[in-house]
Amino acid sequence: MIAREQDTVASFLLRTVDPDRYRQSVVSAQSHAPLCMMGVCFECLVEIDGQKNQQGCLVRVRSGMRIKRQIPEG
Amino acid sequence: MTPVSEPDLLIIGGGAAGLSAAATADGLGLTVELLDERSALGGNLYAGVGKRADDDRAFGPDQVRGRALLAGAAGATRSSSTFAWRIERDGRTFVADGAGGVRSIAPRRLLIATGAMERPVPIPGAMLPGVMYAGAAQLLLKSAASVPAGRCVLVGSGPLLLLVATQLLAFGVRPAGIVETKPRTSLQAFLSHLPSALNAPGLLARGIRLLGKLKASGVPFHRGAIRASIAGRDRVERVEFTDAEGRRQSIEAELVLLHDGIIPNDHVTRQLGCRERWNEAQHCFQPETDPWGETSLPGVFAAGDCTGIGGGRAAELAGTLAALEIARQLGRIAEGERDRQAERPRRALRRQHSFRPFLEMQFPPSIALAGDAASDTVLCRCEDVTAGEIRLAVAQGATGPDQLKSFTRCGMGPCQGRSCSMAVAEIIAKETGSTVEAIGRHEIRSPLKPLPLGQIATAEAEVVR
Ligand SMILES: Cc1cc2nc3c(=O)[nH]c(=O)nc-3n(C[C@H](O)[C@H](O)[C@H](O)COP(=O)(O)OP(=O)(O)OC[C@H]3O[C@@H](n4cnc5c(N)ncnc54)[C@H](O)[C@@H]3O)c2cc1C
Ligand code: FES
Repeated sequence: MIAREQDTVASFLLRTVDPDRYRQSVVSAQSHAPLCMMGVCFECLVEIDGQKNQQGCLVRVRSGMRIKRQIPEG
Repeated sequence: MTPVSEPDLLIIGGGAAGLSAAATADGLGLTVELLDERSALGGNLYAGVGKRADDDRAFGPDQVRGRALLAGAAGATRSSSTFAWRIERDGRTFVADGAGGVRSIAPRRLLIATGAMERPVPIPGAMLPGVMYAGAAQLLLKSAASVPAGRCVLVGSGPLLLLVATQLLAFGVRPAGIVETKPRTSLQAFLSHLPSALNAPGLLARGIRLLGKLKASGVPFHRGAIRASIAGRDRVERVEFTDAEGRRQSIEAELVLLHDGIIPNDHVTRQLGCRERWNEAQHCFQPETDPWGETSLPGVFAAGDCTGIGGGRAAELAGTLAALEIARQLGRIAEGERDRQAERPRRALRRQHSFRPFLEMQFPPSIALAGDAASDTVLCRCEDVTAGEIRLAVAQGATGPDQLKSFTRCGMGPCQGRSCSMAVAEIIAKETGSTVEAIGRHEIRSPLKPLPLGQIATAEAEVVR
């Protein structure tokens, strides 16, 4: 998939997946999506290169990056 | 061992205030480090200025100004994607970068320029995917030229809400409606604040042009709406509200852009324990500063919208003033020279501030006020705590935000209360007949954000050392 210059992980995902597929809360299993795009709300958490709970709106997309959405299993 | 640097000045935040302070301080011969947690500098107003392919459709003059500010600060050591996660009262700051590195900076002076954030809006349905803040959508436009998809409705109040509507139009996105929840202001209040607003005729004219553009666009504009809520099963399906005639209305929507003004992003000054005060007109807390931006902690300065909302130009001017006083404290310029150089920015700052009371009177918080929130409205997004659960905890004896944590976990998630602390204080105030000012907010401890495990280990070793 091709990202734009200055795309963050969150801005990229918002263009490429439906908002209700961004992430699910571990507390309630409800779908959550990015809200503030400026590092305040923590609604954009994703797994990046094996590291969980990264704020997708603060991290610039790099080529080869492995992005995994956080959706509770089972 | 992690490296330590010792600049004259460390600036946290690379928006208008931070960049202009960096330029002034660098010009006066100080060594300056500036860091920002975002992946690019510019802050909110100047988000995206550093990118190559300029898209000036909606942001022309601002982009030009922002680029000049960025160039002016080129003499400072600047890092983006760098987060200040712990700050000591003597200014020593521990930072983490995106690549997993942790280091510390021991500056002679510290300037906090963390800007503003959008006032959290806890209305029914605001948790649904498909809801975003209006300023967040603007950041997407500015930085990634990312245009929202789907039928979009703007809901709330504030100059930024209307500005974003016109910017969307400039990008070819036609909102399906604007539901404005701004209460009608009395003619008397309007007239009493008008003279001060006329001191800044440029700003007033901009506002009038903005409204003209929106009217001309023909986008349905529902003014004086109350009881706005968002409905949908797994994602946004519609916006509901009671219109000015008292009729309940419903508009289909796939994307809802919420907004109810902006407040200081004061997480850093709070962690430091800078003395704060309640700003009744802006309905928010803000750190106390002297006329140069020095906080209650000697050597720790704050400038720009993190000290109270003044706007981009005011932030720039405040950054300059702080840098002048810092240069004086460090012996680079004498008092007389500081005052001479401060004369023009201070006059310009007064003009910027003179427009604020008018805006504050026009756009008081509306849907963000949580005191009367319906009991199933979610206030704490991290732990899914509702207004009803908070009222119950208050009835059982929780009298403050920190006590509430043990009753409900509200405020214990990764955001540390950034989204919920005002709403929680409003509910407690309402239930106990007190005021938000008296109730206060959650206490904030470091780390300011959860750090990945590996970084925590390195970081702790560093703090102990
Ligand atoms: C979403 C949004 C959109 C806005 N759009 C406009 C607009 O279009 N026009 C307008 O006139 N005004 C706008 N404003 C108002 C804006 O506050 C001011 O115009 C101006 O940006 C304030 O400048 P500043 O330097 O005080 O802060 P900002 O420009 O907000 O810069 C603050 C910087 O600090 C950084 N930061 C915060 N905390 C940390 C930390 N712990 N560690 C490292 N870095 C940190 C942030 O990432 C940010 O880059 C907007 C405000 C918001 C919240
Ligand atoms: S979208 Fe709010 S923190 Fe990332």
